[in-house]
Amino acid sequence: MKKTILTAVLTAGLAGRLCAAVAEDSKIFTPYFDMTMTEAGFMPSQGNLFSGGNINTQVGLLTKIAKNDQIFGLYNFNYSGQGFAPQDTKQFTDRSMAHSFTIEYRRAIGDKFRVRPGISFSHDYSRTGADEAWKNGLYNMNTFGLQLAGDYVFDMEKNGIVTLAGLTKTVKFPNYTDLLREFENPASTAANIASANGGLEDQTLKQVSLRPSWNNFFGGLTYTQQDYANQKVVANTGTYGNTAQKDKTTSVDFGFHRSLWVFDLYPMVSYTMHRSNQNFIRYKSLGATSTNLLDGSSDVTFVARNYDYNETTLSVPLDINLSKTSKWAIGGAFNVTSRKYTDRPERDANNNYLAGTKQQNLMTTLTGSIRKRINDVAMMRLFYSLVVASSNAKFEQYMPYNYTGNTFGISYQLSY
Amino acid sequence: MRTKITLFCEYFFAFSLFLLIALPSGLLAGESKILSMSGTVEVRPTREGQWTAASENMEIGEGGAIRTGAGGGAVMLMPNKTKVWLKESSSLELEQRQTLASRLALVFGRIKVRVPHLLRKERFEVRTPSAVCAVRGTEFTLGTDEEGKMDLQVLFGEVKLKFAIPPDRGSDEFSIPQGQGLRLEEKGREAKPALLTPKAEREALENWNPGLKPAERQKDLRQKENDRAQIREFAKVTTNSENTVKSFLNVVKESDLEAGRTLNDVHGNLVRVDQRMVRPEPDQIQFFNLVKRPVYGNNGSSLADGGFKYNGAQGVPERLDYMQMTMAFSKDLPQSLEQWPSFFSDNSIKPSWASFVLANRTDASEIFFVAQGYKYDAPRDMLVNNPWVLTVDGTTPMLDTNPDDRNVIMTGILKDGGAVTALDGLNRISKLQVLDAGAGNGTLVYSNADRSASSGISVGGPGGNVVWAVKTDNASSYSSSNNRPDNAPLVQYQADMYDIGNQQGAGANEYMWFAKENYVIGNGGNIRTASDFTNSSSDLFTLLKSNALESVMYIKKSVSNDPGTIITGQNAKADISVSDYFAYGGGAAGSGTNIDVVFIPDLMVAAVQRMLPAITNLKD
Amino acid sequence: MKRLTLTFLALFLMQGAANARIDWTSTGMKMVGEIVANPAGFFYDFQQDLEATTPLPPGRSFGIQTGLFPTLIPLTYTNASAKLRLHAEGHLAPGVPQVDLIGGYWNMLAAKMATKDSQTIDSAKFGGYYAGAIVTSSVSPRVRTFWGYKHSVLDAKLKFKAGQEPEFLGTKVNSFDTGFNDDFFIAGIETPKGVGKLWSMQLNYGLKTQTISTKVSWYGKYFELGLNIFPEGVLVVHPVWNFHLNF
Repeated sequence: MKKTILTAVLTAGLAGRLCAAVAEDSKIFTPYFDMTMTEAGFMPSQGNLFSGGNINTQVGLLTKIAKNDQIFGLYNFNYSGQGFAPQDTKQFTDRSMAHSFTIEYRRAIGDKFRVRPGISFSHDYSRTGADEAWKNGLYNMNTFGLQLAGDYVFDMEKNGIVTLAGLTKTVKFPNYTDLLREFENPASTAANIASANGGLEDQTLKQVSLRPSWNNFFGGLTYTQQDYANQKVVANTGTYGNTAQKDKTTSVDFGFHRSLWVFDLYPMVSYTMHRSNQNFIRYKSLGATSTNLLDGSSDVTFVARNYDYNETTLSVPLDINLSKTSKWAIGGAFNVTSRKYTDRPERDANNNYLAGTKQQNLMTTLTGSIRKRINDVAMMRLFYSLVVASSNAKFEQYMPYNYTGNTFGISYQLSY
Repeated sequence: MRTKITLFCEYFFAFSLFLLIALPSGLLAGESKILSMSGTVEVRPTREGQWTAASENMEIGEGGAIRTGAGGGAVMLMPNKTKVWLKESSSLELEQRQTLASRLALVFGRIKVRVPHLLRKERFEVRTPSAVCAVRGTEFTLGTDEEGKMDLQVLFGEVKLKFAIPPDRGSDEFSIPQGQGLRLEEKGREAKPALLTPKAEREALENWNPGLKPAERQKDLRQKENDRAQIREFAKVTTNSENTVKSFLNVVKESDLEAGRTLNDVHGNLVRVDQRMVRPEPDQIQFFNLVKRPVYGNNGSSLADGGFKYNGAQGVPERLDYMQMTMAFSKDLPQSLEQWPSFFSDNSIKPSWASFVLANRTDASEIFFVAQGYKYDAPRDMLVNNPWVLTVDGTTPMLDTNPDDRNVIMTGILKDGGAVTALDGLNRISKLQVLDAGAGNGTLVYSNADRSASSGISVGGPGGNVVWAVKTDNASSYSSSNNRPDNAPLVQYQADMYDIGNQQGAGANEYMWFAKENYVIGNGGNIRTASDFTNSSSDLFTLLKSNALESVMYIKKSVSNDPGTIITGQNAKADISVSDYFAYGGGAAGSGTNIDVVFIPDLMVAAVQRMLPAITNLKD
Repeated sequence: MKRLTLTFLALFLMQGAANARIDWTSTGMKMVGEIVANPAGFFYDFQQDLEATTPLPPGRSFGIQTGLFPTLIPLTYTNASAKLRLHAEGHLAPGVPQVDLIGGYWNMLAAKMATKDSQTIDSAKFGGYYAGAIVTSSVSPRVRTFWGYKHSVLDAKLKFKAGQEPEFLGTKVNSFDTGFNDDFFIAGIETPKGVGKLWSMQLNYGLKTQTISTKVSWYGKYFELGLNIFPEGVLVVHPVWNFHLNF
């Protein structure tokens, strides 16, 4: 009993000291808080008005253990609601909520080098227009990752840094499986037998990236490989074989930040090539059968290399400062995303694939915003955005491809 | 044996350990002393003493004073752990320094005071020519000149300020919390607290230690800002990296709505249920519920309770069942799901036909199914299910006075080997491309694609056996839910007698019993009771998402084949044979199987919300 | 700034109404469907409007609050909340944060009035309560962060008169008890906008049901104007008006 009291008292005292240590003038701990909330109304040209919001809360802590050693910890809560998104990424009504933790240890080696190992976890819930319970989301995802990065500073004055980073993540989808494959084709191969538990899309993601930056110019080259643990490639007979699915993505990006007179420009351009060995079987309905899987207008069609594409993105955000001391600023942004599939044919409105041209998507966004600084830590922004999406895919029952959308929203940010 | 003295020593040790750790490392010395200084600093150690040059660690007693010249600066630590920084050209007097009361007087200049938490009854005040500030657990800066013009900035905690000369207008007492300050232009003038400007806050927060160059004072603050910028950068990179995984999800959405769940069924088998709603044609909706069990066993425990016998094998691997509903409308549906509610509220939209199919699809070459078809009857303005459904399009519908206007089911075993495979046959049945063969015994033929004529191919395939039957009008139904005590488990056993081909005879095998066992189960396979729904403090939404409906269906033979003798529910139960009507799996006649579907309400809520007007119209 | 926001919103809605593309019927029906699917969740959003989850301003030790819009008017949620400061920041030891206890209770008057005339319902209780604690610490003189926990309960109980019980799934039901019950984690940042005026933003996250809401609040001396966003709720944005007295 005495021991309990003693330990309780000691702990309370130590806790008090720790609290004192994290106080503002502490040299060891630096806290970081950032809360951003956006709520917008969306009006697509086909379909109805809907509203969606984004909430992002970050809590971080920087600990300086020694002169050359630092530890960063970050907890991030992100809710992203309904909204417009580039074609073939998600439906308007998809929502997701994620919790993630990242810890990174930084060690400076000499004046110019820095090495950064890190570890991250995240838990992601997703929900579609069916409003299922969060824990039942088909695409709920858990990830665990390890990273190792190195920085080399080659120009101290102009902030010239080159970063080489390697990352590996295991991604698990505990709720996702596909029963349709077994119903459409008898269980002829082991891969065609659906699992009653989830895990069909479980994968290991490995990424290597090289990112130089100098004098407010930055760029990068990234290579990502996804190895699927359970998902196999579907053959042109309609059944799943024994080869595991593998996806490879290479991307290059470049951008800079410049201030010209009252304008602040941050243009960025990127080019991505995504290649996968997976094919796709399109069923027009449950129970559809076909004698010729290679015919684009039959009820069951085989599409080879359905997921290969090349994507170019250009984004030019621009801020106009009305005056140096003004609380107000006007901002604008122009974004273009263009995706060209290398093998996927375009589809007509009746869900038939047309031989000849391959599918191409284009999405242009024009945004105008007014920003007001409430004080040195808080900011609010009113924005309006025009989205024009077009594609030669005309089958839009489930995923929208061609539409014009208007967005009007408000966003608050508190950052310390 | 522990003596009182040892006990006391232990407690004393513990207490001092506590003091040592919990209180900041401290000096419990008696007087205030100078911690550090730079430039011209003078001290008057006691009230009547002389001004002498100061030195580090010099003590100042009660009534003493300290002053700095131009370019000087000093830091003083008081016995109660209060720290006072003096800037250049400042003069401070220690008017009172008792255990429970301390008062400093700022004659002129600028000071920064950090008062830690005080003892319970302890008071701490700082006086200027114009006002008195009382503080506890506070950090603030104070500046004054000899005429009384003063400037207060509160950084942490709260300061209670009282003017020495009450102003002409306005209050003479203020409680100023952190982040605010007060500036008094002239003694006796009115003044109010105002928010600190960022510049004033920075100046107050910077390092006031003496001997530092101006550029160095903000070094710590800048370092903190750098650190925060680094974390911001780190946070941005981390968020980007989290988003890469999402962006690599290959999404090809081929359904309007989809949901899925893994749970246990009432027999204890692991079940995976996938539901989807798709549109095979622009004017059709197809909703299907796929059920898969890696292993299926049914121990037949329901039989003793009033249920029915399962004659199939135990431990069936990769068992597949499904339920499918297709409905076609008179107009094409809008592309977007969100526009459906207003589409359906339009009274000119009518459903043109609908079908419900439940099947055991474990073996794709031998499928046991039960189906119901509905066609739109224009004169009666509703979907009807009666023998008229199995006639070619264009036939006059039955009047509601027609005695044959009763429910019709199609059921049986589809087999491969004929002109139409079993899978394709089921597909055609779900599109209602079947007609009565006209042989008078309930057999069916496939129609052509637009239901205008027969194709001549009989339904079932070689060795198969598919018939249609109409519900008898005179036999009693069997339902076990009558006379259940309150709060019994939500289980219903139910059976109806059907007349094959509407022969209205009394021969062998002319009648069948369509028997159902319905259970409301939770995710663990446990059977729910009504009070689980009405007396839980959870909302209905959460409840729906953790429950499911399981329906086990059989087609059983009739013992008597004479509906006239079945007058009570007990007669009905006795007439339901334990043998199945159809032979399945190469077994002897009477050894059939069942359809065991688990239905989750996940999509129903979403679909109902969008089609609510249509459903209310249909009901009417 | 608030006026600017409201005028833009009004313009946008008017332009939208003129534009036949907005299908108000569908939107309305969908909202009704959402309320029917989860009535407790819908009414709980209004309980969040009256919950006082911001800390007491520096220097105050006790506060009472009542929600006016949209809680008292038009939903007749008569409510009262209180906040009590256990100890101020730095009071026990340097760096130890401020701890406030919060709690409140509300009851829907309209439910009680409706049962007076009802033939089948014997008593209807529609109300709720919440209790929790908030820990606040300053990161700079003008920025405070607060964290907290609250337990929130909404109770909807209907008792039917003997002999008038309805049937549900084959059984007679003599009482119907549903509601909402969850533990919330609160995190927020607060900064003053002027003397006696605070501006804060906070996130409330329900641990069991994963209900999320963000509250942006302009907290004055006696009144608080807020904008509560419920991304997954039926009415996504609630403008809020509360009255408080802090001592």
